Amino acid sequence: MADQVERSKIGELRGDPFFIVLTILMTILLLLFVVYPVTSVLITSFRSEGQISLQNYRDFFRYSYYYRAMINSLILGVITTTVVVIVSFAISYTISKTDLPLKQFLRTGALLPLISPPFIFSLALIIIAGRRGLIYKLTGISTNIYGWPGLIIAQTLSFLPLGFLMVNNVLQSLNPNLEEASLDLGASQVKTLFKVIIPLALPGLFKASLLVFIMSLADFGNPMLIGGGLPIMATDAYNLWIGEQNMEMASVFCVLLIIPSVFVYVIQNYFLKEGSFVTVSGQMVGTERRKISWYIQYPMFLLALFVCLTIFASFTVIFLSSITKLFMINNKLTLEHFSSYAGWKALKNSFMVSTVAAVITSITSIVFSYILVRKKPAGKELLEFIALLGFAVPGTVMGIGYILVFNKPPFLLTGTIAIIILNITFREFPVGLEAGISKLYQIDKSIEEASRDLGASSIKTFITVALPLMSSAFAASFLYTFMVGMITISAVIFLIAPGTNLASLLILRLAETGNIGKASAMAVMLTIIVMISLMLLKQVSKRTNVEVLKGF
Amino acid sequence: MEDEIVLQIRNLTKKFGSVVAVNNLTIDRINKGEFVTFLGPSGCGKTTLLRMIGGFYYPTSGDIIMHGQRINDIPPENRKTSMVFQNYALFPHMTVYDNIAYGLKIRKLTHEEIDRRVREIIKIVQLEGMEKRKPNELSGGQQQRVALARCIVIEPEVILLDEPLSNLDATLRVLMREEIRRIQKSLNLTTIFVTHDQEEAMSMSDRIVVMKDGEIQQIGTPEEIYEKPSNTFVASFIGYINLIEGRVIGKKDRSLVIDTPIGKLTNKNVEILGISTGRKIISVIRPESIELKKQTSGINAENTISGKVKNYTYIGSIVRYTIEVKGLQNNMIVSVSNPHGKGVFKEGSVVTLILPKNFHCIQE
Repeated sequence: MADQVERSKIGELRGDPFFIVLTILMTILLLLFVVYPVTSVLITSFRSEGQISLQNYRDFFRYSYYYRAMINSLILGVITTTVVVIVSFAISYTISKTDLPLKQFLRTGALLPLISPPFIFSLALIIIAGRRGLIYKLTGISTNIYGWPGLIIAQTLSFLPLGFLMVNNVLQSLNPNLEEASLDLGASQVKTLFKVIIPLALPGLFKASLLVFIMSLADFGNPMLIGGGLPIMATDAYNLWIGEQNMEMASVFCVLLIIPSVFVYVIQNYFLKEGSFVTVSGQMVGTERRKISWYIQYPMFLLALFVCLTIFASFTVIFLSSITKLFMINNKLTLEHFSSYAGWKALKNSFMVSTVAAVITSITSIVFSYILVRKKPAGKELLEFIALLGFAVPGTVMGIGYILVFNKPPFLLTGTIAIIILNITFREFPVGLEAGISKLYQIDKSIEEASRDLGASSIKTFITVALPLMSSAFAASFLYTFMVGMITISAVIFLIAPGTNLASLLILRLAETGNIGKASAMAVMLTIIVMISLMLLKQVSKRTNVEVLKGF
Repeated sequence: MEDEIVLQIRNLTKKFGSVVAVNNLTIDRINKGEFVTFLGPSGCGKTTLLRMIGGFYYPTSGDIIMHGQRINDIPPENRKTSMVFQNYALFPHMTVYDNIAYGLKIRKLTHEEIDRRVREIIKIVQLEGMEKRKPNELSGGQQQRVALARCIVIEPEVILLDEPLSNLDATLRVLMREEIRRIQKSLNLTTIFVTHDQEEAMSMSDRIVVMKDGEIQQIGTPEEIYEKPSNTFVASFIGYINLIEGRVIGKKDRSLVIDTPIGKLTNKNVEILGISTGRKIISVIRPESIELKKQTSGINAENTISGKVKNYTYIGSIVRYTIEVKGLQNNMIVSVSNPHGKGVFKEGSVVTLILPKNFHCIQE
């Protein structure tokens, strides 16, 4: 029918001053807190001795101590991505195709990193395989985990949940009949795996790879903790800024970090929306699990098992190190690591910052999603893109951008708690926005029309009808922002000041200074908080079909 | 007594981009207490028209006039219309009672007044005992009643029903049809009803507006629409029809003689007597107006032709025959009512069709 979508020049905002004002306000906020910082970074990267030129970029590509960071980051990204996808595939395959035991264990293991601060594995690796770590104590073999091996392992474990969720999704949605058809036509299991299953899963694997790759590029905590001085883009940008006050070169690093992230993000959201050519045609018939040849299933199973055991082991050592005096040296049980004044203060800060950011993010993102979906303002797509930018741009960039913009009047905010809250708000805003949008598409528009029809104004309709129906998206957005706020480091590390330290950053500092016990205790606390948030979040998603972890 | 005009539509047009959904459409009057149905196939613009009256679309041009006042730019919340949506649009987070009370609360009536009116309407739509339930705890028919109650409790000038029965199963649909009509009559509600179901339109309406491609094809009572369709679209949209093209070749004994591919037909219908000789004309003959007889001898009686049964559908109350007739490209359709005991002509039987002496014609 022709009467589906009303489109006029000003969309449905016509005669709706309240929402027009809101739209303008939101646009201004997005411009100020997303576009302006990113643009500032861009401009600064071209500034050299008071002039606009390509000099900084020339320098970047001339001197190896700059460009090798990029080479390292790219190599790290490729390796991490490859390993994550292979491990994810092995775990998914074992879970969904074989009849091997320990499925629940493997699944839990693969998802467990979700509840941890992203750099927890670096910490665990240092405890296990650091210069005087667990391995040295037990075997006397000296291991040095810092640098490449530590980074690859830590990143792999950190990003495994993301990879696993996506790859598993792909494998689950493959029509098992295709596999059977291949076997039926005489192909061996190996041939079926390589000629049917993997090619069909390829688009999905590709999508997962892209996401893991940009997460690896943007990762800050792991290189900082276990990089051992290896030049990596995200951390070098930080060092250039903090150590050398070289904001121009730091900005160049940022721009080079933005390009792949935004590129991948655009591909994800505008070209791969459907993701894969998973072919489901006709009725899918449930199939029995077949015996898989041992030479296919056991390598996969062992790989999956090894990785999941490592994950559990990491959590275990972190926990043990948090409750012992000095793990492996003095194993006396103690709670002293949990009773640090600075630790509780940082935790309190984190809690406060995350809560306030979560409140602001959830309210604004829900209102904004309502405006975008229901009021269809001019330039809707552009507004949505700008909003999503805050999420797509690596944290390091948003951190530097915020300092560039907010360290001088009229927006002098550096050193305050507000800048940290704003930063978290606008970085996580897109998640709430997407949750709101997905919820709104589930709510029939005529429900709001009925309210208008019965005499309620557009504001009244929004408050009495739309908002209550969107409460689940609101809760999801709140919990997610809170959770991320508790564990984020990359952007906020630029923004903290004395007195505004955050728990996640304190862990980093404690670990750097060899204060492993205290760092572990903080990590345990954060893990517990995140775990509770995540469980609540899962309940919300489950009860209400709101997608929250999309693209996470 | 002169009827009170509630609503008028003048030269109303709605464009979505380059698509014209409603094209220069005029309805002279919709009277107080009248039940008017917008009927047409999907895409004919009926819902668009309804939504413009409700205030959900702004017209591209033309006027919507309520009680003599132009209401084009008045937003829905300030219009004295109220709509029952196709999927009811009940507020899922509110109880039946709160759903119905919603519009009254907005109007800031006293608590007692709200309660009185909600209880009254709940009785009318027979939902007693359901007040505390949420919409998802109700059956389709009950949801329908809540939607209707919510709509009429605010005493709108016009109630708008957007295919409200399309989500119900067949039996319930017939029941709710009568129910809506009963409530509408007892409260003397001016009602506009949108449907694509001609049976619904025929059985409920005071007047029907038949639409196609954003334009009105005919406005009239169900009888007028059925018996005197103004064009072939209306004729074929409502029920089964035999349309036979022909040409007026003369007049005889106060009747018109029409030359058609199946022979000469005479028509005693006085309303078309004025049509001049030589004009092209389409004879509109309803299947149930044709009498069917076993072929006995040669045919020479007026308006009587011979045919062969191609197939038939036995429905119970009627038998519908498809009959091959010489000279006619399409088959003739004949319904014989109350076939019980009369017997049925099997496929291949040669039969005599006795066409009516008085039938409607459409001028090309």
